[in-house]
Amino acid sequence: MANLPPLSRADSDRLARKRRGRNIAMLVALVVIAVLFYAIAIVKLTGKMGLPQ
Amino acid sequence: MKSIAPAVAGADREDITSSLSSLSASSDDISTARDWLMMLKPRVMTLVVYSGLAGLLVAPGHLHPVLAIAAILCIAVGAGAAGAINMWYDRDIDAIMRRTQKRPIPAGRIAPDEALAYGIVLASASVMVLGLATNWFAAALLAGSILFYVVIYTMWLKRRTAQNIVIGGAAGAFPPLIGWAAVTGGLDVMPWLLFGIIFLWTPPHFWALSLFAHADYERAGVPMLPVVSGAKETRRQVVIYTFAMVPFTLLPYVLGYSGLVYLASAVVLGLGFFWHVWRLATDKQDEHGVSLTKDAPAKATFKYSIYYLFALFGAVVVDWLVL
Repeated sequence: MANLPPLSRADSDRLARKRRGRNIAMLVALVVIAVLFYAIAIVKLTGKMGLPQ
Repeated sequence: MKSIAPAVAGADREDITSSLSSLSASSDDISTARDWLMMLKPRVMTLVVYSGLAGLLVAPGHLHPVLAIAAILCIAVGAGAAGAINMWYDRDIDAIMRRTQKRPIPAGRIAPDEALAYGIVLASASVMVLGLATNWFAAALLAGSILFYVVIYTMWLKRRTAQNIVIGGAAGAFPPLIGWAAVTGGLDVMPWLLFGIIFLWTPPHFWALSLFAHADYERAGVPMLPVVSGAKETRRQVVIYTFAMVPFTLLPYVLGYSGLVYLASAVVLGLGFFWHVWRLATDKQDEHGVSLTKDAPAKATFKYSIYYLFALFGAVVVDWLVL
């Protein structure tokens, strides 16, 4: 692995903020996908079972 | 932020690609959530969502609201994925053009391989989910539009012919077809009319932009019409396509697919388009056709063309609500 110069405190904090932002965005995306799949499944199932929609 | 842009003029594609890889490997500047969002070209996505929604709303039949939301989301993500793959392929010329050199790949915040993987995963997922949520015909249309934009426009036409955006413009015209197909499982005359409107609108819209951004395209070696044929010919082509487009926008009323609200809107908006294009055609210019007004009419036409399409598709939906 290449020897990189140590990061300053300010740079380290900046990188941590960026990572945290990305992690939150990923969490939001995963929650949206889970809710979307759940909702699609429910709508499809109720449609096939002839239940009132 | 590190940027390779100033260093790339004159370098070939391999040099630029290798510079991008080494930059992206550096650990002192990482991508943000915003960078990943920017990879999806959110401005283009807005128009795609809007026109897809119009196709979905005016289609006969009923689609459960949850499935309709899923369909619109898939159309948006599919278009965004195509944009991400486009940014991956065009990373060499993006680094040269001022308008695009701050994009995440040329700026060194996202690695090209990551961008490609991102685009492919999102494209595949959007097609699969659309197929599962609505029908596989709509999903096939979405897949076709992504492939058309990436392969036909980005990889084949963009760097080869001045007619790139005429044929490539079809990719941006797919959303109303997909929206309609998501509801009906097929196609009819009306979605093809909406397709035709966007198809004919694309050349005057893009060529108005390229009139004042041609230096960028020239530097990057992209054969946009003003670069290849000059500003005079470009203005002439904008006029020709406007004369083709505005009468075409009246067809939904003529063929009985929309009412007077749409007709009135199409006429008023079309007259506005003619006025802008007339100003563009009569712009003060030197003997080579170069604008002496810093392309003010071209900028105004480009701006108007965006509002025009939004208003016209808005009129399609309002007319459908009134009827």
